[in-house]
Amino acid sequence: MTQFIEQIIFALMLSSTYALISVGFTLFFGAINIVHFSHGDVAMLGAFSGIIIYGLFRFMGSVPSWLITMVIFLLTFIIIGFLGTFFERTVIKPFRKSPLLMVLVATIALGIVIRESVRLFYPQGSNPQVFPKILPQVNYEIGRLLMRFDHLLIFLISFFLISFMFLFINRTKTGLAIRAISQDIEAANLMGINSDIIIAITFLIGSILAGLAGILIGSYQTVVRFDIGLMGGIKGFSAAVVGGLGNFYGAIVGSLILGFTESLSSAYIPGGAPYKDVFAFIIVIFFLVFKPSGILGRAAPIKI
Amino acid sequence: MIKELGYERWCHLNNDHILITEDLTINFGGLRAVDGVDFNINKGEVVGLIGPNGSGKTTFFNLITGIYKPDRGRILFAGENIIGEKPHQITRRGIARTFQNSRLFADISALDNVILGMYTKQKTSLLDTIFRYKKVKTELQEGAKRAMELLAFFSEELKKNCLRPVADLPHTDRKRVEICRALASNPKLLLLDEPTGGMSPEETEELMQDIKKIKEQNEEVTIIVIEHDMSVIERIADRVYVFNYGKKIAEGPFSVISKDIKVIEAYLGEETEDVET
Amino acid sequence: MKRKEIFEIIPFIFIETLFFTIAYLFLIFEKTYSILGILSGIILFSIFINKIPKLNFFLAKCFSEYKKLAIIYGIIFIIALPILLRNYPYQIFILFNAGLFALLALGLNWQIGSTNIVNFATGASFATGAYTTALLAIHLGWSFWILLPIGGLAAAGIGFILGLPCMKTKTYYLSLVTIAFTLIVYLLLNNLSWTGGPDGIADIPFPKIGNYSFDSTIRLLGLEIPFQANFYYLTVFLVALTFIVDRRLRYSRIGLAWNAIRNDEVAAECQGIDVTYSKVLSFSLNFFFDGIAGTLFAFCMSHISPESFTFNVSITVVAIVIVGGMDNAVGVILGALLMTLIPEKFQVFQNYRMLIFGFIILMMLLLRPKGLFPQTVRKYY
Repeated sequence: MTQFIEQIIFALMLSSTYALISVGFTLFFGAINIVHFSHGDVAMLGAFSGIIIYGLFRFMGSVPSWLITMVIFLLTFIIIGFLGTFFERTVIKPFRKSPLLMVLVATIALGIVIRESVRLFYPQGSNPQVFPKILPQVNYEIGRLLMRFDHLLIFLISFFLISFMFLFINRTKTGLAIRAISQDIEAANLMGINSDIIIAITFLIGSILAGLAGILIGSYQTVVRFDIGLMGGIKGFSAAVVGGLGNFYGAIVGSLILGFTESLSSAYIPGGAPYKDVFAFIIVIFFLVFKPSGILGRAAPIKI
Repeated sequence: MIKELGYERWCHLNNDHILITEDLTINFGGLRAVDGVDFNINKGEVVGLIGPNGSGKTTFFNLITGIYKPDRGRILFAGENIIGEKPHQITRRGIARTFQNSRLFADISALDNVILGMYTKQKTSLLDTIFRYKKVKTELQEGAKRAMELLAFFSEELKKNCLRPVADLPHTDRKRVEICRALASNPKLLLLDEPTGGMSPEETEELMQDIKKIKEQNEEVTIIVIEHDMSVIERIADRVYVFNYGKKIAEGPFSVISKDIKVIEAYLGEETEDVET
Repeated sequence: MKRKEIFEIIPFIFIETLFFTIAYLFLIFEKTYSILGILSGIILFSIFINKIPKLNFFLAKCFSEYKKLAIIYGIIFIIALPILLRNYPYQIFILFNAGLFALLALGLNWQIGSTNIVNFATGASFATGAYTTALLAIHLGWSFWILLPIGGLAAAGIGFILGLPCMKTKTYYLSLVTIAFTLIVYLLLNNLSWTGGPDGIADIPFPKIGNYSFDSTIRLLGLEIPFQANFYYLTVFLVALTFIVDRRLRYSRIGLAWNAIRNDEVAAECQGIDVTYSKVLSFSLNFFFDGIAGTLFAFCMSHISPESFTFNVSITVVAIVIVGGMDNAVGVILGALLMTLIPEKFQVFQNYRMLIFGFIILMMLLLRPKGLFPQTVRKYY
């Protein structure tokens, strides 16, 4: 029984990290109707930047660990936010008026470039890299239940970030602009909204979340590789699709489904651990076939 | 009498209808795009469909061609209920259409576009294509010949330019290619959605003559035309239906409905009492 | 033959011979500098031709008037190539490899180029053909020639199963499913015991015709041609076959329907095209030829492992179609040659191959989205 509760907590944590990425997918799709296939690789960059910054600190002698953690989060926030927006300006913006096919392939190509650059230019890039333990490694015992504080912290941080984003989109003027653009970009332009800047801001937020997600994922996985972005991105996208692409709550619901399927199948199906991704994808394909608009769906039908 | 018998039976008793709709209704969200429309058209007739923008005319076409499925009502084509059939099945029955915004296949040639119109009349299969290619080649070449004849019907120049990708052609020519494409399958029922849209008065006159010629060449073809240009409707339509807010508000010859006060109000808006005081 | 014709044919043949010689030298040269030299030579030569309209016009005219002659000459060259390369077995091998990618790309072209379906599952379909036939050969001892179409059918079956439920989904969802599928297949191949896991399957028998096994050297007119030539000829034959199939599909209502779907699915339905059937057909046909390529690969390498069937393979084939030319079979074949031969010659860049591919895709999409050799107009006479 206690093992089951521990699994649930783990699943929640896993889902919350996926949610950070899938919310980005849904946001980009909702705002400018593109699928940013390399969004997962942005998260990977976040993880790697965490490793690099930590490495830099090692040179500086003894710095209190809580400070290191804070700085890592802050710097990654800034760096990945910048990178994500940079990618949007250079690779995604030129294709804004192009057919979907082109944007799709362009973002996939971008993902390749990011992954291969890390593999080639980061020292020993093809090998798995150890992610530093930047969260407190404390365990709490409640009765026979063993609760890892860092997993709990990851979940709380993700929850906080997602709530923050939710509030931002629903309660601020910029968020209103984002919602306006996702409904009708031309009308928004006519109302005086600079859609170009708003789109850049959308990518800024999405990328920041992804970058921080990278750090959190690195923290619980303890090992990262240059290609975790590929798998992670596909999972994040799948979660968004299952929940309903373009629907914020959908991304969260989808992430929960995906996270739980993955962790529970890995824990409770004998010999299932190497196939956990397979199970998760089968669920995705199942949803795509029977409910392509996702669980919560997207609002208006397309006019012919 | 109509309500007792049911619209469909009433029509049957009276005429040789190729298309009947009964109480056709569809909602989009909260909006009733088409609301309880009863419609009939005889073989060989030309019926005009007019009404202000957004009155449901194109949606009506979309319902007939199977792009949308109605929430209520029936559509009978040559006596058979076609609701629930997919668009390609309905086209096979002999219904062809054009679109308001000229949905041609932009990156292939005009000739290819018109040949595609003949798709339902072509018979070759995958096996034919790989193993009995001669059959396929003949079929395509005959198609190309016929397509060029159709294009030449409108203008020799169109026929000369038929190998250019359609995206390069001027607006009027594209509309003509679309009509050729629709005619290519020898349809029993032809649905034209604003064929003169974006045309000058001279071009409109030309197109009207062309439609008349089409009618003369095949007497059996039945045409429904959505139009905003009343001069066109006046001259080619045997009967006219008027839509407003998804409902049919008038039906009859042009001379009658053009004087119908409901129709005038629909286009001009209702008179307000303030004007009198 | 008229005098005028002789004056045109001789220079034309000369230019074509020059072209073949350059290609041959490119294949043989080892040193990076010489290769770079030839490559820049080719590029300069093309620019030179483009700048002189008379020359350009002359070449175009000759090619259309003496098409049969040019093609026959080309075929002679292709057949003679292994003889000319009899001292360079590795070069013959990389040509064989290029041929495999040409097969994969020709099939994929029907989806991406003709119908606008972005299919990233080539790695998986390739694997299906390879593994199915390898296992059947090892466990049941069936001959290569029977297994060749079976590999195609197995992959086509998978394509049908994959394609059918996905037909309702939109472009990006479909791409997602194809990517996920490729990753799943790779994971399964790596983990299941009966596929040999990470070690894969070894000792796949070489194809045989009667007593002649494909791993034997060819002895012709006193010359010894390395055994790789056997695979080369087989591949060339299959590529030619696929090319003919492509031609026939293109000039048929099937190819026309695909192009219609690419432009406007709703309008296509309204012409009577069963869009679902057409799309599933493109899936199945594409996968069939991928399966054949997979079988060819398995029996010529005699050993296969999951590492040859990764997502990278899918990306490479997609890149070839984009670079070579969407909906243009000749462009796609040339693209396959470019994208496989050039990286092979620049061994020093091997590690950077995927990175360069990514950049090339981005550049092509930005500058020349229809590919180097875009679609041509159908002429019916």
